[in-house]
Amino acid sequence: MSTYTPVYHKIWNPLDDVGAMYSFVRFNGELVYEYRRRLLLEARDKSGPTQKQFISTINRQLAQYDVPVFKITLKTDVDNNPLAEDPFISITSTYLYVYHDYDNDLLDFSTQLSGVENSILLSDVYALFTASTYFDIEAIDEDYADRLSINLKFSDTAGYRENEILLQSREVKLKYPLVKALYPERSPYFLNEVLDLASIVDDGDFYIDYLQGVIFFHSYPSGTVSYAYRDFPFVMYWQPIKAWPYNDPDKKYAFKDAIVADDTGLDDLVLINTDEASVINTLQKVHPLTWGE
Amino acid sequence: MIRSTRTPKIALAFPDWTVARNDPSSFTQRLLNVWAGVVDFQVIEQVKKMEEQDLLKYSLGAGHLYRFNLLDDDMPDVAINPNGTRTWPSLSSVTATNGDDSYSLTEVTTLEELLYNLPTRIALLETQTITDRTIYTRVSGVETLTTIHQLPHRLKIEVTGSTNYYKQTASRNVTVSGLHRIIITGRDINYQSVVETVEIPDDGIYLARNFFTEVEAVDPTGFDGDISIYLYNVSDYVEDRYRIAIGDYAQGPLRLRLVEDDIEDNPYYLQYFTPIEKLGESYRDGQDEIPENEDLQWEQYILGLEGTFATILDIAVHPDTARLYALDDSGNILIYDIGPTPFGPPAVVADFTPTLATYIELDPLSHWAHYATDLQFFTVFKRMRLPIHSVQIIRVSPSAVVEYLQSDKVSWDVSSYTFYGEDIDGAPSPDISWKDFPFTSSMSEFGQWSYFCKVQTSIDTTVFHTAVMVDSILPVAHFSVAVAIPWGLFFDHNNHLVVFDSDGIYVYQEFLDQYLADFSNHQVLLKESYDSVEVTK
Repeated sequence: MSTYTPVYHKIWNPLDDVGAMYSFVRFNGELVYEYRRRLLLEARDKSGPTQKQFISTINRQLAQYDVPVFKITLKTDVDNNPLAEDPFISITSTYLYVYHDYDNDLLDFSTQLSGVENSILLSDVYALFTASTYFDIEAIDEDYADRLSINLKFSDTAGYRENEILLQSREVKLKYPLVKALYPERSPYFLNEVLDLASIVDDGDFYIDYLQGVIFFHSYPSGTVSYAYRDFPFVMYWQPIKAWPYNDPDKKYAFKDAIVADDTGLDDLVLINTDEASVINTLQKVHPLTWGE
Repeated sequence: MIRSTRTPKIALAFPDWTVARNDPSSFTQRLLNVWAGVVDFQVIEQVKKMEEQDLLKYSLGAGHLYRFNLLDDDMPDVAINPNGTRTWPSLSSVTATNGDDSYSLTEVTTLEELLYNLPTRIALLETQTITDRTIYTRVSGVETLTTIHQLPHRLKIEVTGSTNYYKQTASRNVTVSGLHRIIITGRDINYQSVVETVEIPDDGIYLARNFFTEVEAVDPTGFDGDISIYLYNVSDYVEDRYRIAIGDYAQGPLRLRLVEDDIEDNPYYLQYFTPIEKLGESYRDGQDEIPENEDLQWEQYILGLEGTFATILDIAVHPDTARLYALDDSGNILIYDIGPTPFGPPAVVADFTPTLATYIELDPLSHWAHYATDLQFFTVFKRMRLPIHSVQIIRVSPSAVVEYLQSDKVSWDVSSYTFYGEDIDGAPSPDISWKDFPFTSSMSEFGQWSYFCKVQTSIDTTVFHTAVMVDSILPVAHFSVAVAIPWGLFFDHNNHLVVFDSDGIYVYQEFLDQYLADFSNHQVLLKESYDSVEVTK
């Protein structure tokens, strides 16, 4: 009589063929339905070389997922127009910026995402949004309260929609409202932007309701249009593994220690700390950036 | 072997007047059932193959096993056969341990058995409190939508009460598109935005393909019925994705409905049916009266533990194995291999051996019957070749009791009774020698009832046989779940068995404590993970 310890033995499943197309191998011990979820995510939100794709897809390579924690919506007036003039939210490597008028650089609030004196936990972030007069917050994740804020996904509410097909109608509702800028292709329908509906008199005249995302034409258009918009409601994600660009200016709050500046006498974050030194050393091992060793 | 729903399709190839086509108890149909059963298994595999690379498929299949390599000392002695093949005897015992629990594993001989055999136990995986499982309703045109965030579910959509499926208007100014669909906008399991179009060809029950965590908008179009969208619900029927039902009037997806019988003890039975018209727009055209659209093909009592009557609350079909799972009100999960019970050969009764040639046939209203009810039959003088001298009609119950139909054409008795033809001497033509009549038979037992009709003419004696089934199905496995007042069950998108009640859901995992000995590779394969396994040669 002998005693054995069984080991995991992978057998082929048709999803492995799908994973091969996406270059996503099923891990040892990964259940088929867990693997299916990962493949589904890759199918709908593909990996790629852009910064946004890299940040969005890094977690799934280790069978981790971005957790949607908050949904931020805009408070509106009686006419259903946003109270914020130009709402904009940006999450950087270490900071959260919430603007109610981004064009004029007017902050609703901002907070550092690390440090006990700041918003170290998502419950702190939640409290800040709750107190805002321009934004509403809804918690999607029941367990958000004790998650560290520093892991909030590097993202913002700047949206860009490329080549949206125009329906053949004099009034075209774009997919997203809160349009910031329009980039039409060269066409006879976008010759002269006017300031109101009554001023549309000739072919080529068009009026844009930037708030609602509606374009009015004199004649029936065709073709496509690209545009920038504010992406609301904004879903904030919490990442088990957070990725952010190394040239992010806000990294100084995590990677720099303060010294007193000679000219101002105030603290200035300029001194590399051990965390950044470790990163630089790792980078230089791979690519020295200098002549010779 | 269970009777395949495919058997009638093959039988339909025979001419309309043949016994082979009309009588499920005939030798021909019993023979055809053998091939149909083999095709059934292949079709189930084919359906799974068709959706193999579909990420939203219903059948996930297996992705792993567990194994250990046997030491030489534990390998049974090989026997080399005269033809050169090698065989090994089975291991004496294989016992697995997981924490404080130990399981005696039984051997299987094929990989398919290891992957798809009946589970040997189930265990509670997790519970979730869900207060509101209704996502959207449209009742008499009034819509209600709940947009709360929930755990991912494949939504269940029920469409009922439609009087009109709007056809596309032919005029130049098109006002009606002719499309019948529900467009659901929401977030999927990964919180990605998803827009799914569920085609609604007719009233019925549908499943969304995506696993929604939020529903942001529901946009129905093309019909006027009431709509309900649930996370889960006990529904009017369950559609078996793997089987088609084929009858005289229609063929289509097999649907199973649970019905409570109104006789003593209120047993439950399954209805096997399929829709006649597949498109609502072909018969729901705004008229007040909607014609009946179900082709009922079989009814079968669904029995509980040890063949007793049970109160069955809900049924569901397993996406991987196509077995039927039922939940009773005592919290038992009962597993069935479904399909009409095949007819057996005729009962052997002295002097009533069926003959190839027959004159008078017995035609029941249906070849299945309800328990403890009367079924009506008709005699049918099918082949008027000779004047009829005499007729005896007997029945043989499932418990082999032989009874003769008596003169009142309602009662049956062990004493013989003979019906005589009219004016038999010098009768000018056969058609006035015999007048067909209806009679009834009380179906007081489960099983196959055989009916024989012996006809004597001036030159020969013929015997016609047919059968009627009071069909029932027994569970092939059962488990108990600790849910005090269960409501229903379903299989979630991860193919876990889920039982629900008023408070939420209970997710169960199935386990199979069996092993496959692959001696040629010195290894033993297991379905489940264990801390350790003890092997005795």
